[in-house]
Amino acid sequence: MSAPADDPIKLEHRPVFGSLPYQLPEDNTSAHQSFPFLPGYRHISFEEQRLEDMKPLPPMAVGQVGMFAPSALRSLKAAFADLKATPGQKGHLLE
Amino acid sequence: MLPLAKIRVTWGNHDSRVFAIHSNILKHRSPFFKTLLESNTKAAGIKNELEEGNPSEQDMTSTIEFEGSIVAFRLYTEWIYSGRIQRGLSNGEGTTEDTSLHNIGQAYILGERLQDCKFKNAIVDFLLETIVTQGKMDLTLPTLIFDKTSVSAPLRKLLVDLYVLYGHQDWLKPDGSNESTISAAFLSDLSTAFLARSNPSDLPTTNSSAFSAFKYYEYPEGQPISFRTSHPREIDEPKP
Repeated sequence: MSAPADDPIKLEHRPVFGSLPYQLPEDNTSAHQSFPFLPGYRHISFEEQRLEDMKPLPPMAVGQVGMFAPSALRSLKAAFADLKATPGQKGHLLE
Repeated sequence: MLPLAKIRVTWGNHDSRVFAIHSNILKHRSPFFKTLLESNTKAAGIKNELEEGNPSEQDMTSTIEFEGSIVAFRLYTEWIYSGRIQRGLSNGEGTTEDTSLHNIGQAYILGERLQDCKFKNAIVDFLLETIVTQGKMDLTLPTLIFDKTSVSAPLRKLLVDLYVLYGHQDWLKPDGSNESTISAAFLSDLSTAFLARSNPSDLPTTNSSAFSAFKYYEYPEGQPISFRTSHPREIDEPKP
C-alpha cells in the first residue's frame, strides 16, 4: 500500500515545448533527423545524398543559348580581367 | 567638302539602308573599298552606279550596292568614325538594336569581306566582353563563323578555345536533341583541339596565359604585331 505522497504529480497544464528557445520552427523539423532540437543541425543520410545526386542536372543549353557552368564563368571572367590588364603593359612585340 | 561614298546595304528581306561615309576614310580603312573606289571595278555582287548629275560631283553621288548585315555595317560605320563599338546601337528609328552575339559575328564577317584587320581585332575584344558580361554563349555562332569566314580566321580559333576551356557538353546538343546542326568544320577543329590537350607541351599552365586576346588578333602584312587594339585612324608605323 502506497503512501498518498507517492502518487504521481498531476500537472495542471501541459508544458508547451513549441515555445522553448532551443526548438527549431515546425517547418524545419523532420522525423528523419536525429537531433532536430539542435539549431542548425541537419544530417544528410547516404540515401538522401544518393537521391540528390541522381537528380538530372539542369540543361546547360536552352534553345540556341549555351550557359557557362559557374566555375567556368568564374575562370573566364578571371582570364578576361587578366587580358584586359595585360595589353597596355606589354606594348609591341617588336619593341 | 570631302567626297562621300554612298553605300546601299541590303540584307535578305529587310529594307535596304544607305550609308554615306567619307570615301577617304573608307579607302584608308578598307583595302576592299580602296580597290573598289579607285578602280571602279565591279566586284562580285557589287556594282558602282554613277547617278546622273554634274560629272564633278560623281564622287559624291556614286552608290555602291553592298549585300550584308545592316546592323553589322552600322557597327562598322560607328567604329571607323568613333573608334568604339557601341552596345545597343540606335537604328535611327527611335529604337535600339540589340548587339547580340549573332550580330557581332556578322560584324566580324563584314570585317573579313572588307579586309579590315583592326575592325576584326576590335570585334574580337567586343565579342569576348559581351560573352563575359552576359555569361552565355550563342550556340549558332560557331556555325555562322565557320561557314562564312576563311580557314585562317582567328575568330575560329577563339571559338574553339572557348568551347575547349569553358564549354559544356550540352552545347553540342541544344535542347537534348540528338541531331546536331553544328558546322562539321567546327566539330573537326574542336576534336583536334581536344586531342591536342593530351600533348603536354600544348597544355596551358594557367587559363590566363592560354587565353590572351592578342592570340586572336590579325595583322596585315608589313604591319607590326601589337598586343592591343588601336583607334581606326591610328597608324602603326614599322619600327626602323
